[in-house]
Amino acid sequence: MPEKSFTVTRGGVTSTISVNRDIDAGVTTFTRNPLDKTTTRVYVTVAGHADMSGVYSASAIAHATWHQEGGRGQIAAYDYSPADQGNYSHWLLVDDSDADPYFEFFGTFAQDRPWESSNTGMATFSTISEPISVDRTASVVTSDRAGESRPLLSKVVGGAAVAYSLRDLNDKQGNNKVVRVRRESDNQERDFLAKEVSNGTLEDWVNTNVVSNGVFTNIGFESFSNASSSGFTASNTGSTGFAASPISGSNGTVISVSFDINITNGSPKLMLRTNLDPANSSPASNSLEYTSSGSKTATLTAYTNFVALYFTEGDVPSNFTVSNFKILGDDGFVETWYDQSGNGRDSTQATVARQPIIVESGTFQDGLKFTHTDTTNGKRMYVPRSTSELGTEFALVWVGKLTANSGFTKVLFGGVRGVQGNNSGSVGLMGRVDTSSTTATFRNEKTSSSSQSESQSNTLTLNEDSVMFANYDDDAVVFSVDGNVTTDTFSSTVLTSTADLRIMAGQSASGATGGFYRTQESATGICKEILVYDTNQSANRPAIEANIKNQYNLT
Amino acid sequence: MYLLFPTEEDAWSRSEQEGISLGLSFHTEGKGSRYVTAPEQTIDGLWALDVESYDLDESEQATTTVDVIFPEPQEEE
Repeated sequence: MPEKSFTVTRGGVTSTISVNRDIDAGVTTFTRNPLDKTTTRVYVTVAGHADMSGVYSASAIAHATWHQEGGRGQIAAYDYSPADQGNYSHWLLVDDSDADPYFEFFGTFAQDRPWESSNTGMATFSTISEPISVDRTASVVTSDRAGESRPLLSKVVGGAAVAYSLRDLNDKQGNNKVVRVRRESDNQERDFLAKEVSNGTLEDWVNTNVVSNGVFTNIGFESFSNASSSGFTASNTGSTGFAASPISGSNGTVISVSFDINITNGSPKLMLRTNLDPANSSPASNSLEYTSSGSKTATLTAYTNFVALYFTEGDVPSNFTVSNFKILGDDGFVETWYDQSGNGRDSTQATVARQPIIVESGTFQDGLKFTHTDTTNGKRMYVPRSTSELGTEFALVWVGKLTANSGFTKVLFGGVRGVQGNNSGSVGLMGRVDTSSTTATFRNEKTSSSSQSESQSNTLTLNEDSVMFANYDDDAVVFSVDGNVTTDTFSSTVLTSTADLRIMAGQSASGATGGFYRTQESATGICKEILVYDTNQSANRPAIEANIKNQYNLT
Repeated sequence: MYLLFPTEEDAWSRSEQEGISLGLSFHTEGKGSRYVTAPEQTIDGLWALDVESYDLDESEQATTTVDVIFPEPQEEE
């Protein structure tokens, strides 16, 4: 959002104040611009004298002496004389501790502020941007007023230490960036505003490179029928056969497809080719062979330009049917989940194999999807905030869903590992959904072998969104899942872990992000929102939950 | 499929090299994705890098392995 300028007249002096209107979680930067007769603080850079550089201040009067804040520098109007008596202002810039440097410069009499001189020599003057933190903490609103929509979360309760979401927590119009996404097909990346997530721009961008295929045509099969762009039936007994579908792309393009195949004989192969005419074409991608019937997905990576997709007979005799063939959409992965708290604690994942999924096969996942296929490639994100930094009063909020049954309780958010061999001194939220029951837990891992927790049974549901809230206040715990509240009193709670909090990942820790990640304790599912408060939020819990439930249509 | 490296730094360097060849954002825009896969330490102190998706040269292809054992953290419950 562009700056807005205001003209202010004060004491007969007119000045301009520019306001940066970027709304960034309650922090707005006000800049006095330009330097003028009302300026009382200015940043001075003194060439060759770093100790003299810094903020200088004075009262807003003509020919004042400016003193360095926290230093020994002075800029003094040594002498000055009006227009009819010489018309000059004689300025001295001096280190009053040792008189080094001792530098003078001149302006006219009317140039009664040092930066107004046409030649200030070794001194450079610039404005000071002063960040002003706006406390957005408003009275807690627990119900909508008639005819009004529910307020943004930041208006319900501000002051989060960390806030991640794909919705805009601060701007109803959704004009703040919320996520940076990498597109799988070409590794391009882009930041997205909240409104671009919700209006389909993100999904469309991820699918920019997706191409469609044409009708399969027969080249060499003795029998070929039911041809369309989604399949065919082909057979031969002794010759080479190709079912060719037009599709074009360049070297490096990755195409994912899905189809059903029913094989009576043969071992058909699928690949990209350089020409629709097999006599003049060569392979353009990896080749995949099928020896069994069923529903298949395949990924073809082009190593040169291509214009066709081929099924070949593989061997003879060959008799097979392909149906429901379609080109799948692209995948998008989250490189950064931007912090909306105003504290700049973005969660980043620079290793592509570990980036959570936001668009899969062309479809927006309505959150960050975490899968845990193996130790090295399991999806995980870290929050640059540790248990030890939360203090003795804090609250954790997780919004999302588990999408896989498991007999293990998994880490949804926090610093805990979730199983003995604990991450000592950590806290976190955990969940388990299996075929017979579910468990939601707020856990403190006191030592490597000792933990305490507050749990609820059967408040989570597989594949259904929930909001989990835990507030800790000097051993007093309030735990809520979708508004089902329980309380507990912890004993001798240990909150010393310096490990980064993790999103949907269980990991013992040594240092910020080290330690052993394990698939067994890492939650498979979708995370939609993370809030961390380093203040007591028990009184605000109803408002926070009401806002989230309204946003995500939770019951 | 893994390549084994004597140091973590060597493994990250190979991952970054692959990231450069793929045109990851960090290497083209100065921010964003930088590495393709992340190394994990094996029980014998080497660093294993998953190179299943990598474009390997001949010498690398000759030295890949699938026989990698990662240490398991203590588990008591």
